Amino acid sequence: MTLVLVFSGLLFAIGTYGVLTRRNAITLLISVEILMNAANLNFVAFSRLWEPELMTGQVFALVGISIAACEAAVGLALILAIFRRFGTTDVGRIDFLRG
Amino acid sequence: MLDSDVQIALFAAFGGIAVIAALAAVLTRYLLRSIVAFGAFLTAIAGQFYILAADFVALIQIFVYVGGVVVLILFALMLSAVGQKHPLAVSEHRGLGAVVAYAVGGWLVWAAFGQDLPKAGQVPGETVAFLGRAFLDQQLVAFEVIGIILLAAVVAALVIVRGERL
Repeated sequence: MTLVLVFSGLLFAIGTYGVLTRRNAITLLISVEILMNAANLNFVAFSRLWEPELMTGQVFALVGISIAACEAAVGLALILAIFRRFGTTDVGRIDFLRG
Repeated sequence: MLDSDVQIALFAAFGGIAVIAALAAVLTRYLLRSIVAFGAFLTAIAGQFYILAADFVALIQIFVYVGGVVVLILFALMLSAVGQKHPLAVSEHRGLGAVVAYAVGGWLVWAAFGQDLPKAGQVPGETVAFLGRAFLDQQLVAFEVIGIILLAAVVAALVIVRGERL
């Protein structure tokens, strides 16, 4: 179990680094997906520990995968719309809302 | 949890691939390499799911993520990075990001040790049939909420991409 937690912690840290340092919107989305996968790994692992006969953690992981797919669809649609308007996917250069 | 030495070794191997691929996806400055590394990362995570006796989740991970999300991201790359050959810009706050990531990772790994966790139990043999029944029985609310969220996401994506007035 400790092994699982160590790996998901490492992956979460990598995803955090990506979210904090990337400026391209698509790589930001990839970093967020890495974070969600680290969380899903923990859901599946913990479903073996508490009430494994109910498999609630696996249900949670499936729900998480669906939500991640929704998020990717909406996020990529937003990226395309922003690219059409601004000609870039660099989140540092999109300052439409700057006062 | 992991019953035999073979399982532990396989899990660690998949985990190593996942960590290396995630690092590559986050650190490379070329978008296509990042997407390919992300696909490798997702496949390695699917392998870990399989070893953790979640075979259906592993299958869905391959179908939805590797087959769906990665292809979607590739399409977004094709439509948005026209003529973009130079490396991607990265934030000037990389040092700060690394410090925060080290802190988060260190804390999570530290918290993983020394926990008094219960013993791992056995999951039902037929996970697919069991999950199907669970989704239509105890977890019905979650199932319906996913349906509504998926519908909303599809409609939202269509409206945003059509975008006459955005």
